[in-house]
Amino acid sequence: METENLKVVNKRVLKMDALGLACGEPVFTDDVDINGMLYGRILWSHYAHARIKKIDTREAEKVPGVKAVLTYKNVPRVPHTTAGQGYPEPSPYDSYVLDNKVRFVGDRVAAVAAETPEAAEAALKLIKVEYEILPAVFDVFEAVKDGAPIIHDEEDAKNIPDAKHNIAAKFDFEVRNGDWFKDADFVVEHTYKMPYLQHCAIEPHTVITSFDHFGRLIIRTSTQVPFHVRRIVAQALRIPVKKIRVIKPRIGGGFGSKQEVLLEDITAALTLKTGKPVKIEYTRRETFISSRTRHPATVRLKTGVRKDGTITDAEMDITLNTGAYGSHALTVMMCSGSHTLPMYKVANNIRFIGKSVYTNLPVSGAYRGYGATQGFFAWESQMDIMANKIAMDPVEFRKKNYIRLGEGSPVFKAMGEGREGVEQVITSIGLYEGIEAGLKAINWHEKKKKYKNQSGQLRRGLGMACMMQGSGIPEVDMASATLKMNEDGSFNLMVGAADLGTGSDTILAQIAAEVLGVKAEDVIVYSADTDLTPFDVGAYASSTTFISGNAVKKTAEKVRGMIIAVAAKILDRKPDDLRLEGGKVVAKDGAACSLSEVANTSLYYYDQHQIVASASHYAHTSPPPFAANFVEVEVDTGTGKIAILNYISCVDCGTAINPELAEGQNDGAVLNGIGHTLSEEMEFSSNGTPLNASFRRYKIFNTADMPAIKTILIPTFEPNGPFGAKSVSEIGINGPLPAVANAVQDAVGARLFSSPFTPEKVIAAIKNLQPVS
Amino acid sequence: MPELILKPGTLKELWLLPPAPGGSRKYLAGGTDLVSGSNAGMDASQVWVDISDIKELKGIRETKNSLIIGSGVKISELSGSGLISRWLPALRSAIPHFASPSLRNMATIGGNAATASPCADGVCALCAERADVWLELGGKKRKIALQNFFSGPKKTVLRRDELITAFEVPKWKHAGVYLKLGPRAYFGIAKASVAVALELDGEKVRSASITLASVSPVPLMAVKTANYLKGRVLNYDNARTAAALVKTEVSPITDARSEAAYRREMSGVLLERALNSVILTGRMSQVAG
Repeated sequence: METENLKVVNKRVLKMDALGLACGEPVFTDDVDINGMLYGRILWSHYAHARIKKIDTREAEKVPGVKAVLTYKNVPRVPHTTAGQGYPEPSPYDSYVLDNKVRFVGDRVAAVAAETPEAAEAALKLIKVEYEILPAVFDVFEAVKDGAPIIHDEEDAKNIPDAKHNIAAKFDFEVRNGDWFKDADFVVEHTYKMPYLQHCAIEPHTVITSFDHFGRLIIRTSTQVPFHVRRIVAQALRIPVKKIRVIKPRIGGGFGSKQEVLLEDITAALTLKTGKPVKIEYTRRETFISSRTRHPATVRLKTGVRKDGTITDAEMDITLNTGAYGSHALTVMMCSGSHTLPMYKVANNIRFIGKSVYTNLPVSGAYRGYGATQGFFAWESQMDIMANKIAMDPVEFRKKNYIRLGEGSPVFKAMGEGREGVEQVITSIGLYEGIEAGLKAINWHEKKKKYKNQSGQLRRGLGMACMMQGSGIPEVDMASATLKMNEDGSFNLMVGAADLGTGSDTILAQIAAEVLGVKAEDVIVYSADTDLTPFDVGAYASSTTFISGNAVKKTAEKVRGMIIAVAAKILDRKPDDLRLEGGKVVAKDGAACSLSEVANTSLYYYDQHQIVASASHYAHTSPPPFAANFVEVEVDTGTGKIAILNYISCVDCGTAINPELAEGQNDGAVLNGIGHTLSEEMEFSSNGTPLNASFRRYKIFNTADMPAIKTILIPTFEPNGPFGAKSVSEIGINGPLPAVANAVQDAVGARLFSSPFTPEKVIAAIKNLQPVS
Repeated sequence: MPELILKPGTLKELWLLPPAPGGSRKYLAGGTDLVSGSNAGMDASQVWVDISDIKELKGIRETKNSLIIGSGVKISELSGSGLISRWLPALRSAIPHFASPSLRNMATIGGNAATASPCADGVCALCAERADVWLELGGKKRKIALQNFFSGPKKTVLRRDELITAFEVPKWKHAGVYLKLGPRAYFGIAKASVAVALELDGEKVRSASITLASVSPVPLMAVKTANYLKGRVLNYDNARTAAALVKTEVSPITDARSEAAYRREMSGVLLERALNSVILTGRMSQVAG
């Protein structure tokens, strides 16, 4: 296997920005101060649904220091989507820089730029708005009824499949092999629910826009998608792409919320209006209300199962709440099926019915897991319920049914991201090994026996869940890299890939270093700047390691060829006899020259040229990583509190380019999922006003709450990945909800269908205890 | 935050200060409520009076029959105090539940009372410890039972500019425990909590005080339940009956943190567990003896 003699890849290389970040170096978007910079502020709607009848900004403009006030009257009206996706985006064009209608509490009404934050705040208070209050709708099932308030009644919106019924996206798909449920011994049907959830990236959305001395617009922004930002801002403000440069500095986390053009358009509009640099930084409250959230979901899952453990039929019906705008409405919904339905073999019929529905609530968007989280909560809960029904061990039931090496699924072809997918077969899978490792690590069999007959108020239980995700979007995502050689044998690697705290700069350096026979620290990575780095779709869809990693590998291989060509002349050997190793070019007979000699020769002595190359990569497949998660819980049947005693997450991400970073990402994803499971939920008043938009009231797990979490990497070799790698970033978040639900059922016999599993819900479930079947 | 913060060094200096313009004085002690409230735009005072340096408000001392805890004592000082450990077991057991380690280093026990939150951990425990509170205004002192200090959520009987100077807690031999149900490991505001102080005479309860937080507008003294236990043997059966009784005494509401019915139920669960833990520790000491 290709992983055996690796020198840099698959090693615990120190994250290249770790020291600087830990020492508080000024590296984030907000850490620069530009002379004469103005402060932007946005006026938010207090109404869930209203039309702006009059808006008077005269008093606001008179506030000393105020330089611009924008309303829908003085910005371009271009329907677009804020979703930072490949072009043409599969999300409806239903958003405007500013509009004469507000569609949720926290929607944009107007924007101000002023010399001080105080002046900007004062001006916001003086903007007089007269609203026509419209009836609002907050429930997806109410929103689709005839006569419900129509949230997108504007005529210029595009690609909304059924605006009259508030349907932002829909997709149906069926595989039919005979009558439904004819072979099933049992038919199981349940509905699973997930609420509004926020990403809670520690760095809020921040943008600084300014003009350079050529009159080009510079956008410095905390984004996952620099190139999509450039394109969408150009579209929304009607300026040429060539007039825009987007710079992504270090990013303090995104988790999908920064795969979104949230502030870049309005900040840029303020710079265009004033000619001055403008900064807008969200407060935490604004981040909760006016950025993006996970799509709340209602998943109805109806499955048939035979006593021998065959899953006969599966019907998955998902309704997502996309909020006031349809960002990622279609693709999140499709991924809820495309990442879950291929996981287990279904013998006869498969049906998927998906809708994303507008409501007058905050806007949903991309969030780590991207629909798979919603889908697997249903699927992996139902797997346990089915196993109980046929009295089969839930682990054995999964082992019998999961997709095997070399197998495909009709779902891969039928369901892509917003369009038809790509046929593929599984080319690497370590799920069996993952299940075995997890069983052992949590001591499953012994504890199962031990917990069989428990008394007392504290009851322990075990649960598990399996899942998969993807590695980029096949035949959609593209990444590229440029690599150039310096005199001392170091290299500059320029990538459009967006390291948002994930460590992608480090692993991309490792990939280049492995090919070039140097240390990771000899590769200087720069990401990302639309002027300086080649195109990359950005950091989303678990794509960077797989897509950008392959692009870097190809680029490095080109550069290696150029180095060998020069070295062949220096050493007077055949190129085929040369290899790169330890910072040198080495011949079979032992003759060698250093990389700096090669570089100096190419730059100064002979046939002078810069050793530099670029390459791109796009993929025909999206090899899924697989994971098996195991959890031990203790349920307090008096108070309903669930304590997670131990969480084991076994992940097959192919070759982990950097095992430490892979483990860290997975630990983080699991903790994120545990927050979803036990405490997180955005709450709203009856008129759609968010009630807990702060870290005081919206409870994410922190270090003191963190249970014992262990990630076990299960090495496999993915032939399509760089050095055998697949993705790792998202998959971990899909496990905790179903695994904990299954463990609670194991402990107390009560089944939880609606997250988060608060003590109140657990007590209610125990009280209504009836065996779920 | 106001433009002007006055910082007297003694109570005498404090009472020489002119009255605050436009309303009562805002006293700044630990600042954990006042500053965060001000940052959230909930305070428009023009002046704050910083009492954090007033020496008379500091320290924990002992008299023949009582402990005197200065109102300016930080929560973290309570946890390190031998006197508290020895005499106030319910308070001692409440401290780890109080906000977070960093907040405990700033917040004062006086501020915990003055904020008058129905979910305050420190004062809930002090009520069960049968504390009195010393108040002072312009040099005039008065003492009232802490349980009578609260008149509603965020409301107290404090007169305009009156200051809490100390808590006086009787020294009596008793067992005590504090149990809280919050949303997570720390920085969680209680859904319900209970403080229990029991004076035991062998297996019998000579006297009991039970206080609950987050289940009524003010820290609630469960008098009926305490009276039920008085004179009875402390055993699991009586603990269960007391738990059923306490559920009839509380008046919880549904809010963002929990539901009324759940809180009522939990009042019983927590009390039963608190009483059971006293039974268990009693038994263990018997075994040990």
